[in-house]
Amino acid sequence: MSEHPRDAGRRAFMGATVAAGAALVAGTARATDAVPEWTRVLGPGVTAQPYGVPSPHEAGVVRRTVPWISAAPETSVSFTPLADLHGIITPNGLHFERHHAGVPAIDPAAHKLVLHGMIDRPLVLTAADVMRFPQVSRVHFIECPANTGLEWRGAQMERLQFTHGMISCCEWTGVPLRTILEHVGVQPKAAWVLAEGADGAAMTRSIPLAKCLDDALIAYAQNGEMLRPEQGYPLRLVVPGFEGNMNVKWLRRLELGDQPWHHREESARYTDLMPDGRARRFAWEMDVKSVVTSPSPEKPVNGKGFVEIRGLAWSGAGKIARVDVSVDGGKNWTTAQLHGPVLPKALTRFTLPWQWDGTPALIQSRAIDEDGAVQPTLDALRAVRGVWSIYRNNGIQTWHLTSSGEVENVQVS
Amino acid sequence: MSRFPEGVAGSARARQGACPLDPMSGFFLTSLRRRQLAGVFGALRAAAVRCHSTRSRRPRLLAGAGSARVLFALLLLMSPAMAQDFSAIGRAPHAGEVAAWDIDVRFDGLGLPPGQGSALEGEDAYIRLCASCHGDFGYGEGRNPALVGGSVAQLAQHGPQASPPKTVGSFWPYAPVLFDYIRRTMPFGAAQTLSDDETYALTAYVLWMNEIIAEDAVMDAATLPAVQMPNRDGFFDDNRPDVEATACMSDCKDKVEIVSRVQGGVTPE
Repeated sequence: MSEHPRDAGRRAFMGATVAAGAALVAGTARATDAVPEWTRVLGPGVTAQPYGVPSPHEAGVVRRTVPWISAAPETSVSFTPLADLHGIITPNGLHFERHHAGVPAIDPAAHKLVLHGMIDRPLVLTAADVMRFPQVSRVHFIECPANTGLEWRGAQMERLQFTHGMISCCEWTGVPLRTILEHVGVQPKAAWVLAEGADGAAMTRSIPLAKCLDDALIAYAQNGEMLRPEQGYPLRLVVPGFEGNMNVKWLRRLELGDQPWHHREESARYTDLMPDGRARRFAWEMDVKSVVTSPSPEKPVNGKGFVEIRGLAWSGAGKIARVDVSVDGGKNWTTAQLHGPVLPKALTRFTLPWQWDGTPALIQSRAIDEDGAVQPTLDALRAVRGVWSIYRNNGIQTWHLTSSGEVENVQVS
Repeated sequence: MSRFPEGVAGSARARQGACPLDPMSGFFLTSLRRRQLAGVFGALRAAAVRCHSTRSRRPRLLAGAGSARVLFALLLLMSPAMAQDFSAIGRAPHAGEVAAWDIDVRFDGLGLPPGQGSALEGEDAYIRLCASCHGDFGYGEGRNPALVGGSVAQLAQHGPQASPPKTVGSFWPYAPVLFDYIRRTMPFGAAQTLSDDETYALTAYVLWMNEIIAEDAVMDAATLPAVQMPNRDGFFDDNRPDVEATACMSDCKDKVEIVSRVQGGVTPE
């Protein structure tokens, strides 16, 4: 009968302890036993960094872009480094970016938001005016509908940052759009709101009035501080659960009307081309989705034994109800633990403890939201939508954990 | 996606429900889920969203605003925020202020300004302001968007390797929105510097390059909305859930094979 691995480990541990004891007796401390330099000296004092920044050892935890994805950086996207983040909140400096004409340099004192159209009292608000209304704070994700869009035709991107990094989650503070719409008096025929940004693309989207009266916010703060310029400073829309493009940044105008505008960003873009050549429009709500963030290509496994599988799940329909994890490519599934707070239309953290035996594994996660929607396989999506719809790829992601502990992006049968 | 078979949600999917406040639906709140009945406000708000996000019901939203009117009246009556007087916040726009900022043009031409232009008149401006990115003939330089190319038929006839051409000519459904987009974004890096006549002329030039109008056709607030774009009927409203998925837990498939691996070379460092 062979020795149980646990017994072998215990024997090895006891051997090491004996050796260490011998070294102590002999007085031969290792170099690593010395008190480190930082324990002997004074460090920088308060306000050496008036606005604190991460340790220089975390310098690799940054947003990155894909140069070939767009014609110019001003019309491109950057990706959040999901593998290096913990919990559900994205730090403000790491929230993914998507711009259509770069980041406008807005003077908040000169910025104004104009409300007009089918309302009784047209109104001009400064950012300071908006901040006078009763405020609320809510945690919501924002996901570009093109997130994971590079994977439709097969595994393409080598790392999680680029397969899933067009999502971030912050606590947004602002005023419910409903409060302001009630104040200005929405006329009976109004059914749509056109939101327009103050950037060099004056980007517009048509949003159904009912959503604006439900849970949309005019936000001026994220994670406790004023919006970052790249996130819409000084005012942006937050349209919880709806596709990122509708969360119009640098908000300068809201016009109410009786029909959608069918502007470029809701016809030529952000529509899903189907195999029959027709395209789906107004698919606003982001579908239920999840991904394992560790192990992942950025987070290889350092030897067999205990591994905590960690990941994120979200749904534009509401709360995450359950996440299942597979380590055999979807043959068998185990329900993971959800970590609170589990908030509607927000990232939800899940974990599953696992003992890795060192053999190759195919790691997947599958989320289910409170409406009962189940995250589908990529094959199921492709069977209906083909490979050219670009947007709304919420398929199950597979990470191939090799025996060396490295992790690669694959797709499985 | 289908309903989760083991009943995580505990009831029928809300997305499938009818619009509770829609007078046509003939019932009130019966399709709401238990979690949404926590309070009348919550239920009404949820109903509002459902009416406008329920995938199978969206055509009704687009057709009329009756339910929105009823809903809004109810919200107005019940809103605690109405107890507050916000009239000291902000100001009314001064004369001309809204007009100066109201640059949008709707799909049906609402908002088109006075002025006019033809492709013949737009050629010089196109060469000077547009061709460096979009190409002399509109096919796009580098990764800049092509304005010309493909066809409606080709949107369906594409294999896994060839990207379907989605251009003004093959994909854009409404001509006035081309005017809107040029006016609000172009030239790239110098937005809102074109005159209305220039914008009409450039709109006409792009339509002419796509062989949709004649080179001497004059575009204005009357003629542009009448232009029939080839892909006008190429769109449909949200039809999700359109993909089936179940939450099988064990022995879900016989074998698993890796069918696609990263080829490398395209991911940045």
